[in-house]
Amino acid sequence: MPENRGEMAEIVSALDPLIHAPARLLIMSHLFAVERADYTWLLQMTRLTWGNLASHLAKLEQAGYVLIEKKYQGKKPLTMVRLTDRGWNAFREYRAALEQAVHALNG
Amino acid sequence: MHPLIDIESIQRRAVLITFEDGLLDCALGLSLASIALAITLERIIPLEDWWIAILSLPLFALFIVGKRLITWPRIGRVEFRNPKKRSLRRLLLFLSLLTGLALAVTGAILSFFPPDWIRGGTYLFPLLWFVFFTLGFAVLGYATDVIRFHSYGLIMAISLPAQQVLRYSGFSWQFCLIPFLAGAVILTGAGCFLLVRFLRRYPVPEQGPNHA
Repeated sequence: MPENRGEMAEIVSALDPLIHAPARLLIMSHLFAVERADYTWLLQMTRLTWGNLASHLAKLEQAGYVLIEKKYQGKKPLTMVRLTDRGWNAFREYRAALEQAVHALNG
Repeated sequence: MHPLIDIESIQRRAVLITFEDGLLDCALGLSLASIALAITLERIIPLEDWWIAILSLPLFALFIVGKRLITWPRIGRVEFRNPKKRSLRRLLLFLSLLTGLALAVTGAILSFFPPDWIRGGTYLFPLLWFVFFTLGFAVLGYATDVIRFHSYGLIMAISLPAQQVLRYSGFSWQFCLIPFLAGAVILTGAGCFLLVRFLRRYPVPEQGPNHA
């Protein structure tokens, strides 16, 4: 266990708040596991609603963590989402920070 | 590690979900049925063995069309990262080499040995068939974590040897179709069950796919 509150606060504050929100954590973890995926795949895997998914993806895109690529396959629109290098690194750092926090809590 | 970020589990689920639609199961079952059909047609019309391949072609087209029309609108599309792509490529390469080896050995045997030697009951081709399907599906099942592929491999593997055993035991040609037809019923039945379950579990999202 951390010896003082300050140490624990420091560990927790290292967690990226943008990624730490449950819905965005789900989205980031699924995108981290693959090269790219479309909205429908993210919807099915995360079980978020369309609106929720679009809203969180917009925030992640604004932060530069994800790239939303819109293209056409024939006449059908195809929107693929992938992590940017910044998003990839941010998630890796988040995982490391979370592991440290869990380790600290377990003593 | 936090269960939300078990990356391997996510990747495993992503692979498994692509086989939940039952389309591959149906295609395999129908391919066994097409072999039985080819044997039946051979009795009516003089056909070469390559007709089996011709009869199987629409099945692969159906499989691809099914993926586009049924699966992708429901569960979307995903591209895996390089390590996963590399292991899938290695798997495909192994299965292709195995197929090539089986065809080459079979061709060599048919070329160098008189047909009577084959018909005389050496069962080499059925043995190759057995090994090919058992090994191929074992590797596929191991790589994809889809357990039922091991059973499918056995069903496909024993179909031809069982048909040959029945044939050389003096049973009628109709009776000899049973191994193929039984396998076809099992695989297609399982595929249909999975497809119905898949359609219920994954309705097309309300706003439609790729709405952004």
